[in-house]
Amino acid sequence: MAENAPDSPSSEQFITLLNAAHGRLLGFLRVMLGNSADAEDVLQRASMTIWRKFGEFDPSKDFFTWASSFAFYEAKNFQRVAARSRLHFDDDLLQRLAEERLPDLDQREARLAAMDRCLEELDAPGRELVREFYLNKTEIAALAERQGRAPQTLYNKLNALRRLLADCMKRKTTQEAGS
Amino acid sequence: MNPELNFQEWHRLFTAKADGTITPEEHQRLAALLKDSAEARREWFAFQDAEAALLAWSQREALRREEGVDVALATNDYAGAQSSRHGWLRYVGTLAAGIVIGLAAWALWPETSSSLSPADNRIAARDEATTSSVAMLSRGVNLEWDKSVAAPALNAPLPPGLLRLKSGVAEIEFFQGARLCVEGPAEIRLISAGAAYCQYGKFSAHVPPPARGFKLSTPKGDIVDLGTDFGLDLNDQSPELHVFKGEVELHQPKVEMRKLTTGTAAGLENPGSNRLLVANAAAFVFSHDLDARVSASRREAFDHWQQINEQRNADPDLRVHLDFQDPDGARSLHNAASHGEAIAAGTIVGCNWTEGRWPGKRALQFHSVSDRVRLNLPGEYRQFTIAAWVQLHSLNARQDQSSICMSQGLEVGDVHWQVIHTGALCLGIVAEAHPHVTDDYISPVVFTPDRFGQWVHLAATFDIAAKEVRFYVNGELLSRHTLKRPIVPKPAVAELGNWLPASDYAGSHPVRNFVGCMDDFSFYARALSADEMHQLAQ
Repeated sequence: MAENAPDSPSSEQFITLLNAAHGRLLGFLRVMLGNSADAEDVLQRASMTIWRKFGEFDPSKDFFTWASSFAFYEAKNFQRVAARSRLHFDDDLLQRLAEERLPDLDQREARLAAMDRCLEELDAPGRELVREFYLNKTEIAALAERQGRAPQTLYNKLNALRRLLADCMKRKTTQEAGS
Repeated sequence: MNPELNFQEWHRLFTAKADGTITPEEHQRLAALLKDSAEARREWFAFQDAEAALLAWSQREALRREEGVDVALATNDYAGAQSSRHGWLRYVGTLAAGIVIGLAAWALWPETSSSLSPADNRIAARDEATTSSVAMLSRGVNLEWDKSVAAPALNAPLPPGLLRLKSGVAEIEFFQGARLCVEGPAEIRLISAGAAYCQYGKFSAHVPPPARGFKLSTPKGDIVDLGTDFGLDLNDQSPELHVFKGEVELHQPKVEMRKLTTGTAAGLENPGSNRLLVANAAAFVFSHDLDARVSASRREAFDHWQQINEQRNADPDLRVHLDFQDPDGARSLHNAASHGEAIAAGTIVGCNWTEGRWPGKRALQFHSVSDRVRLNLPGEYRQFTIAAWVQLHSLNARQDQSSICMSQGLEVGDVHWQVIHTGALCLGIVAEAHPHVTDDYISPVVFTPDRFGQWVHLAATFDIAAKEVRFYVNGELLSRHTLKRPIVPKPAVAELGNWLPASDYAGSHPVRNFVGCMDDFSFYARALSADEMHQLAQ
């Protein structure tokens, strides 16, 4: 295939494939990095590598599986660079998480759908707290102040909710047999 | 150790890691735990998906509250994705050149979500709106695909990859505009919106000016179209290229490129040869009578449907069959089930009459938030099957679910069959009324934007004796779910395409309207078998 020129068919294909795999790639990186901000960051870097290598991609193969290997190396690299100041998982653990996560991702959609149903069963104040927290993660202190509560109390309440929701999601998904 | 305590401690470590509040000592414990326990790893994966779901939901919530956002945002953006593609391409071009690398460029990426500020949460709606397709199967006659490779449905979007047509004529429309008729037996690999590789078969291409540069590769060389009609016969001992109109470039290994113009043809076997033949349109007649053959086969399909309908309607367990063949302007849908005397006709509220799967087949279009068909399904059902032919037009970004058929209210035994905003199907049976708890069974994703506009047969079976719920799509089993509790369903008053929390409800309630068409609905008092389901979706 010719070089990756901006208007070549391959760049269109690249965009559609990367778009389609975006959610799963993020889900793949999350389990190695532990949070969404780092996962977004690493996926951004990995996307550039994936683009550079795209000429070698065989369109008859699964794009996500192919792209995930670049994402994995980018995650490893990211941790190495950040190692001095940050807490991170070692390479052995990363390897194992990556291997097991690939088949596990088949359950991702069902989990996302189940969680939405769980949120619907949650009361209004609970939903409000979840929304505030996930939209403005850093501002739990400000939120506590607005509600006249201690930040730790609010954080504890939030974590109790997360636990409750995680249990509900599990209940709604684990009983499914096969697909 | 108490396993419950275990989970509690795990969850505490997980959230601390996710929120960045974890201490070095805790981090060590978390890493050791994940190394040693496969169960902890599974929990960790589920936890991360839960976090992703909470983030995505929060972004959608914010989107819902934001005034002035178009209700049909997700679908509009999908449609816009085609036209704005070149904007992204420019971005990728720069990226490839290595000129702009960094967060600023990343912010242009259409799908970035969590790193953006809440004000930019329009982005969240795009998460569902992706496609990897490059073409669609627009028409076909007597199609027989090699199912071990792929068997696309009519109007199905086609991703890059191999197709092997055993017999029949398929018309493929590439997103860039070229239209390719393929006569089986043929093998073709779709490469992009403007290119394909033909191994063998007979092909006839129409390439309008916007699709100039459409490229068909073959084992004997590449054909680049400069805006024409041409035919390609790879079945013959000596493969030939025929140009009916316009101009085509023929690139073959080791020889100079040749240009063929209107009325000429060339053999591909001897690349050096300059011998030109006269184009023979008669050899590619399969592409010209396609219109007539398609109409004939659609008439046949409709006749066939009418015939088997009589047989179907006689099924003693069939309680409701709405075939939507009611006269123009009708405000109710008659129940065609022979044994459904006890069940009255469905009442149409709003909705428009339109054409269904074939000419002559009638359908109702659901569009506004008030459109619905009201129906009474008395009785208790320890097993049932619910099925419908639907054409979904979009999923609303601000709406969690779209009703296919939902019992009015939230009483124990109420049946809620709907499409979730992710595109998955959900069958819910209300298990507790106050406070309300629904046992939900959620299928894998069915409706990606690729499926919008296609007629799809959806069905769900519920069976207390077998302790199972099943979902079927187009007659094929999609997923099986173990019954959570043996609640006996009592659908009672229900609505197609919408939902009312109660008959006298006056407050505001969540919007559940379905956006699309329906041309058949049935309800059986038994769980149909996989074979029966296959028949039903024919």
